Amino acid sequence: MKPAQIQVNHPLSYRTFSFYQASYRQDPNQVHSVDLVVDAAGAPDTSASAARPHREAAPRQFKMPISLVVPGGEWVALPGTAYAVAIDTFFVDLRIDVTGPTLASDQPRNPAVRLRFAENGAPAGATWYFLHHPEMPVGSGPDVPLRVTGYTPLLATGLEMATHPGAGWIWAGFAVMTLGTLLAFLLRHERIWLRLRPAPAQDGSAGCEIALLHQGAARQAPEFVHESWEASVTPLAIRLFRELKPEAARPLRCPGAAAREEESA
Amino acid sequence: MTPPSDALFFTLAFAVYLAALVAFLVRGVTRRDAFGAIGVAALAVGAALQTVALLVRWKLSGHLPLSLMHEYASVMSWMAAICLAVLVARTRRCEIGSYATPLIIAIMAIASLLPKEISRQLVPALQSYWLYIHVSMAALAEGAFALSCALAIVYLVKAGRRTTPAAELARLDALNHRVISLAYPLFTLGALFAGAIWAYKAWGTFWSWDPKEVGSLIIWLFYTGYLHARYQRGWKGKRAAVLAIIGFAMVILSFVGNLFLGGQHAYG
Repeated sequence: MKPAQIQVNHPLSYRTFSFYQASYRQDPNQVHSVDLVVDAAGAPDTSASAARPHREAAPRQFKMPISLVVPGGEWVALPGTAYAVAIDTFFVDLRIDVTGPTLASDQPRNPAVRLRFAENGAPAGATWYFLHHPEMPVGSGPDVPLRVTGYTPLLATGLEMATHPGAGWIWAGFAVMTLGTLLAFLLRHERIWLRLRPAPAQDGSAGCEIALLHQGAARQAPEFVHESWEASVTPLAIRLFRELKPEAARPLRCPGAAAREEESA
Repeated sequence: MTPPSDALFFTLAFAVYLAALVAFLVRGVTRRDAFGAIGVAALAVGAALQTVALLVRWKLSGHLPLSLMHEYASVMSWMAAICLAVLVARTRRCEIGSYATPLIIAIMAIASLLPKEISRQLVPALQSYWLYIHVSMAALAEGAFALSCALAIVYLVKAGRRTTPAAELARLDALNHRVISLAYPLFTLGALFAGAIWAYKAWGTFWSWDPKEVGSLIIWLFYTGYLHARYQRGWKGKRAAVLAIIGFAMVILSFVGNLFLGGQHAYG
């Protein structure tokens, strides 16, 4: 067993398999834990809260604020009260429409958590608390002086397992094509298409007719046709013609050949 | 003390490129070489200022400025400006500057319209050294493609005048071929091969038919066709120039397509 961390750009390879982090996200409907602050001194003004139990105009001023963390799926006792709370529902972006609370988006625009209350083990209602609006908890729970101050999101990642039996061929292809690209553009090469056919010379001896069909160079040289023809194309054509037509009589009469023969003589 | 803003140097470079354009245009009217020299010098100064802008951005973000479309376009125009300055200085053909500088200015204008907020935190997918290899080579290649487009326009304009000597047209055609011969291997190795290898490392697949991947493949096939047409079929002159312009139009389409098509290459 070998522990490994899988991240984007850092896959885990095991034998012929590779494991990739394909995606990651915050779960919009679940939460790892919720942070609360509860006033251990209890409700400061029970008469007012009894009159408007869950519609406070401004956040309460807590006398003895105590921070709590409520993990998902656990009951946590609230100090200074007879209640315990647990996370019931979470929306990272709550919207209330005709069907009730729904998820508006997966962005944390309006995080809201519904807390269930229990008093001595007996259900005591549930209330919605809004992270950005602590002054307006809504629900059937008791009027407990608490507010939600934060949450730890539940992060999820998608893993992708892949095997590439043909990857070796692809790497080989990359190598060959890279080499080919470099050779094609860093080295100079020229390509010439000639048409050769036997044609009697003026004196009746065997000769050949050369036609330049096309020429090209990897790096353009405008003077190619004018300066390179005599130097490279004609001897090449003569040689080709002799190899292809060994029975052809000499001398071959090709463009420029006479002048070269005179020079060599 | 407030650190210098990259936007300041970017704007200065933009202004100096404008001055280079004016110098080239004046040279075209007056035929005085001094203005051509001023144009080349202004291009060099503009490229230097843009280099500073990119370096400042690098310093502020903590990573090479290649993660946003603004940065990509900026690097593209920077490469085109450097190539143009070298080309004009070596060939003494100031008319190339008159046609290529507006293209550089246009790319910079597009860059200035794109979001440019610096983020010190790269998205996880971009946290790789392949970002530097893949994106930088692609941007440099596309900058050279921009220059080839400008050269093609110069060719077509000159070819339209009956007085232009054939040898001059042939030299322009050859110059354009050289610029594409510089850009094509950069694009092949950087945009396609390095991109495919990075995709394999990050996403587990060499190819995923992402809009940008398809766009790059089409561009590559097109320029491959350009080179084959040139070597095998002897397509030169006007036909090659038209192909070079169409090729760069594809580059622009692929770049702008990021804004509309999304996909795995849309990072802002």
